Amino acid sequence: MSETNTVNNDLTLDIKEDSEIFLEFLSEVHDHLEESESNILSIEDENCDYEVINAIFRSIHSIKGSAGFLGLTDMQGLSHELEALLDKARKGEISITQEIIDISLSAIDALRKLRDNLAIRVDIELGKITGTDTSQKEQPIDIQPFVDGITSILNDDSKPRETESQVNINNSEQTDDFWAKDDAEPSKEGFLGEILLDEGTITQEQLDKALEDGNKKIGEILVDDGITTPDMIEMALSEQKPIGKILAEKGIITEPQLDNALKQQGKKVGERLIDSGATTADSIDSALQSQQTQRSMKLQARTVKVDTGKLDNLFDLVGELVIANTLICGEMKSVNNNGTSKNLSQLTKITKDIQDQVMSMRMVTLKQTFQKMSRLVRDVSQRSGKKVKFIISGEETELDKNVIEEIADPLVHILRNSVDHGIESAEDRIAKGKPHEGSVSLSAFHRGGNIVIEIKDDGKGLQKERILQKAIDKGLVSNQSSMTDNQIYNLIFAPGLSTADKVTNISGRGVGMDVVKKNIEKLRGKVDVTSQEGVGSTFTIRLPLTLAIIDGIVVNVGGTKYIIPTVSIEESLQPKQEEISTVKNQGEVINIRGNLLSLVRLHKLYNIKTTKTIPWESIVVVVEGAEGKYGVLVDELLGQQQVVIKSLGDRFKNVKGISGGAILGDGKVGLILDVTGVREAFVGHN
Amino acid sequence: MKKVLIVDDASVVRLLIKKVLKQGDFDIVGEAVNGVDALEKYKEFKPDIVTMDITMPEVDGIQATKDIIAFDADAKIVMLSGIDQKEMLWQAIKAGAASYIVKPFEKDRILSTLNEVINSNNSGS
Repeated sequence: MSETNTVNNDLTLDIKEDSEIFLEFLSEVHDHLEESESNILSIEDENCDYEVINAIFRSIHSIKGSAGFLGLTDMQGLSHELEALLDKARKGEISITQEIIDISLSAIDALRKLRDNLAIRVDIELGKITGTDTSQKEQPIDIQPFVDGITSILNDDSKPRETESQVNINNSEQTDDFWAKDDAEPSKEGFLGEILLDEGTITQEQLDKALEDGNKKIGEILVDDGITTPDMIEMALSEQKPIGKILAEKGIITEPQLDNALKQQGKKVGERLIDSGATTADSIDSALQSQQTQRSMKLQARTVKVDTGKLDNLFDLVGELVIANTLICGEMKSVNNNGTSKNLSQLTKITKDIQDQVMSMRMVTLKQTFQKMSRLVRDVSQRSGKKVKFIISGEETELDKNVIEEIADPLVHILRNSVDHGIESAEDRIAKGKPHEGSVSLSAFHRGGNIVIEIKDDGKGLQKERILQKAIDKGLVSNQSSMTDNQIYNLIFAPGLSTADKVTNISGRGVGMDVVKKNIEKLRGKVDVTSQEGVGSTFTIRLPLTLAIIDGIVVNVGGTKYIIPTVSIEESLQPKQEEISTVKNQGEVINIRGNLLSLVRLHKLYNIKTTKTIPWESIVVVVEGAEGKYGVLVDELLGQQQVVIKSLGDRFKNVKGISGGAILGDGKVGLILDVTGVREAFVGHN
Repeated sequence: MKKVLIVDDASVVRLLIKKVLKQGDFDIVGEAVNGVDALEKYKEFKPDIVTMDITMPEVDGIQATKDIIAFDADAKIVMLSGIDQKEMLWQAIKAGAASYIVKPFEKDRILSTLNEVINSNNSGS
């Protein structure tokens, strides 16, 4: 365009003026990179199909385009190279090697750094942070090595396409594809048709007919029969969804039939299924049509992106709404009006529904976190030269987004330790008769109102003697004779204890497990470890579903109200006189059906004046903390309530046994007991 | 005001094009993020002109151009493409696209191309 360019024609953008565009770009690039990374990692896992590489290509292409607009030459340049590499891969011109996967991952890391640098620049421009803030500084990054790395691979594409270590790209078909290939070989494991025949799903006649046509492609047969047109077939071929799947979904063949058949037959299932008479030509046509519908339906699941700040505000407001509602209900109890109480219960119900909805908005799956961990395990195992199989399960489990944000660091620490210290070298493993490849699993699941995240390795396990010796050396324990194995293992969470022979750059330097424990406790969670020497270790993290609300039993001690989280409560009872006694070295104990539990008098612990000091005239609540069960002596039970947790602020953070406050139904403040902390405070008190 | 439908999977690009078009006599009636979406939005909004990206998930810009032309033979579609997608551009033109703009985009170029395409076909049907 040689015509006179007006000012501002080159579309240079100003961060301040076009902040909306820049912020959008940052979030878009973030999403693209996350998605690409997990896609690349999935290539590594197993045979990949064309669509996965295509998706990565599109993401990187999109970054390149947008970066070009915004004049971000580094990001544009690097994504351009990566795109070129992916383009060749998706066209099948080069095969995916470990080298390509590695360079793609590091290029994505570099792009991420470039993005983060831009984010900092934008924040500075928008005045969100000051340029002098050292924690938020741009990290200069040189993209040249990555560009060179990719170029050298691109220039070296004369390599033979098939070598041992390559990951196969299934270039046009998914592994469970239903379209027979011309060169389809008779499978030794039995044809699908025979399987279906055995099961009585189809008749011999139907099978024979299918076998007659066996050498043709289904598309050709259908066209020959005049049932459909080449266009229709082409459309079908361009679909990614296997026809068999759609037939199964439409109920023409059943999912178990299909699965079973696929399992027995191996990966290749021919057109015999489709043409075997188990389905008709009509069904295929309508299946083809339904592909179209499904495609557009998929697009209708629309989402809206919301600023998390707004979400937090909404959540706080709903918390206030719940409290206000509780207050009104409390005040109106005395008013005996049928209409009012009916309306009130309606209001309560709606409030509860709103609360549930808002809660669910804050729930996010662990998927992204787990994906990050799979990258971490991959990197750590590569760096330490160990072969580690990483198994993930339960990544669909949902947690409060605030918990998700905080849980990544502890997981990183534990996983690093498992790979670096837990898993032995391949030689050691073989010598011990273990498979040379170590295994680490990360799983998440619900258990009793909690989310449990478990990290399990099959490494050498924790060395009990060593831990104990170190703990004694550091003066962390004095009397080891009374400690159980589990108590000893859990000493690794004590400050200043690291069991590594030497400090490596991977697993840190002794600032580890105690920080892990602190972080998890901050989330009102618990972590512990079990281990068996030579067999492996298991770390178990228990987390609350949400940080914001708990179900609790309100109890009264003197004039003070406490809330005990319902999940911690085993039972409550009024003991008999003969069930209470004092044991040496233990203090007061209560005998509950033969089990001796120590009795914590809350009024003594927190110095409250009360008239109810005789256990058999008061109530004992049996709770379970990290250290086991014990009884809490309280004046009376006041009722059950869901409360919104309020932080007590820094001033009270050192009060042991109290995890927060909450506004109760009568508008007064109740203190939330942390049963593990109460027990610790009690032990310290005595 | 001429009605425009912007088709691009990158929201940054959509924002930019919007920014440019607002300086001309255009009314952005809709945005689509892929080829399927593009056809639906075209049917819904009946725009005077469409700006179309090529590389998009689900259904790409070339197929979307074919689909839209099949629905409305007079549809006016301008392809927006990268410099390295000339081959694809040719396919798009064969599919019925009226014109194209190659990146890096310039404001004047976008506005003049769109105006030209809209006016060219006034006598058409």
